[in-house]
Amino acid sequence: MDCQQVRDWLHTYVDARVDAAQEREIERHIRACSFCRKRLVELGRAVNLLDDQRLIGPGPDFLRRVLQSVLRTDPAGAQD
Amino acid sequence: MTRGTFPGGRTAEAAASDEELVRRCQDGEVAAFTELVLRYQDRIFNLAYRMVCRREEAEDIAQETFLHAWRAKASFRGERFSSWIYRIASNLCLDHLRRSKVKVFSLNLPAEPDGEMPRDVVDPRAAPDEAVTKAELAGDVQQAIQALPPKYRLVVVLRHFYDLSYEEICQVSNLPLGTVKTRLFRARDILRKRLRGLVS
Ligand SMILES: [Zn+2]
Repeated sequence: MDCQQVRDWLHTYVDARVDAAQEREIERHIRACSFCRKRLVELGRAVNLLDDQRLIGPGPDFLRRVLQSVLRTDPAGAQD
Repeated sequence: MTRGTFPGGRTAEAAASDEELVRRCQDGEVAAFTELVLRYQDRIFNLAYRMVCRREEAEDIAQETFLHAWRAKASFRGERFSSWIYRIASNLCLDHLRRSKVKVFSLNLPAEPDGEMPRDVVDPRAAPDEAVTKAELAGDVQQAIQALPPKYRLVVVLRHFYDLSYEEICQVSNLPLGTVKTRLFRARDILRKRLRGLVS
């Protein structure tokens, strides 16, 4: 297994989408190859940063605005 | 069906599945639609915000998404509601970005073009220094996401903000699995390089 092949596998590895055999192979390569090891560490950090971002919500009058727009286009409401 | 089973306002709606609520929307029931908006408004707004990076535009797109969903409710059948509405929102975001392309200077965007930090990124309980660092970090991450081409940005947002699997991203984006993986992996390689200076 060469570094080029490992490259995509690192992504499936951080997404936990590898089977046990692939996992062993990746880990063996990582132990031997400092280039891919560094790449995996950086990728893991980037993924953690992305996963850590909080969900932010719309303003408090959002629901009212949506319902107004819906009722405006569909004034009959109940009879679609 | 479950209507009236539970006394008291929202309870009956809150107990229903998304798909059941859509069926009731299809009968023109605004209360069922209201429950769906409440359930999904944060997720849809956040998707739009991560895609276009401006609060006001994100709210407009989110509003447009729900309006579109209401108008297209007759065409909903069979799939998960979340996939369906994420797809509507994704398409509106990509359309919006395509239309406003000329105005976007994507490579050097400040973290928050309207000068506003996402309010709830800062944890008030954190020490001041820590809070600032956290907000700065969030701004840097948002900036890095914004610098991605929109098609790459979308798969990253769906994967990491919504925790969708590769297959669910295929459903939402109407892309084959190979394309989803290619875009996600390339996007994350770009982010890996951009973000590596940020964390010790
Ligand atoms: Zn290697």
